Amino acid sequence: MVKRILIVDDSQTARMVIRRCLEIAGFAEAEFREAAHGRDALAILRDTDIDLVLTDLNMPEMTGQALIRRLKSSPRSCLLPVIVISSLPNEREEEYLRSLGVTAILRKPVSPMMLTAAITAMNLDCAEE
Amino acid sequence: MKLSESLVDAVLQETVRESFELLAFAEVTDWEEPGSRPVEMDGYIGARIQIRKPVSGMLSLFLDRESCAGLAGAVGGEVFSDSSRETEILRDFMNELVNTIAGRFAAALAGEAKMTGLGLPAAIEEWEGEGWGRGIGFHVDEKQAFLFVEGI
Repeated sequence: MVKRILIVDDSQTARMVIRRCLEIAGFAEAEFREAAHGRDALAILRDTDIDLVLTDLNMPEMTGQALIRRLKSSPRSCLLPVIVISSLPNEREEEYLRSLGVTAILRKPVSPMMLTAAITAMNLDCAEE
Repeated sequence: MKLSESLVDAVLQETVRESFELLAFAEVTDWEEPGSRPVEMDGYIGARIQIRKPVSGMLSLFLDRESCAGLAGAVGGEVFSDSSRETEILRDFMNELVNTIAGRFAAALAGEAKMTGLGLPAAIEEWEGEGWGRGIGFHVDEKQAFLFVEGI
């Protein structure tokens, strides 16, 4: 059951859009945490049990790629599901991210349908179920 | 990669239309002939972003400030209604909009190769009016907007 969702994006607009899409996709009861870059996200992950991470790639301070590397190299967080939401498709980058264990890679702007499909494929339950 | 202006303009128009519809639920209409420029930038808010791959250049987007506030409010709801943070919220919204347009534009040009690269979007603090490349005017929900293309 997904209870806590971490959204990582340097744009408050993007975080808001993703959150609204998740609410429409059936996660209205989930607890949302937000971070503006990878370093913020790591601080939240140190103190909170998170069930799902959605992250942008192109961010100041610490990029999404660096965040994912850190998550996937730690025994504590290596199994944490990660969805990348980025404005840029890049074949080489996508191959690398999948090799790290990223579950899905979506293009901005996301829609509730895109998130539903990605999360359904991960076999994660909705919080309301 | 050197592209014809007509191809760049056609791809840009499509990606601008998609981006406004998908991110801001807004309709883009009335494309003007490339070369048009805003005479007076008071009342406009702008953001720009560097495209690195598959072409190299800069995109700059300007929206009527009132129109931008309306679009941001439609996306962000109550969270974006804090008047004490209006400029910060509008800049963030513009940055995400120009980032989305640039991402879709780069992806469309890259095609199957899917090798794309962007810089970070930034608010335009001062308007100088010249040296920003080709300006293309259009309307978003009936309000004037401009996109400038430099180096592509």
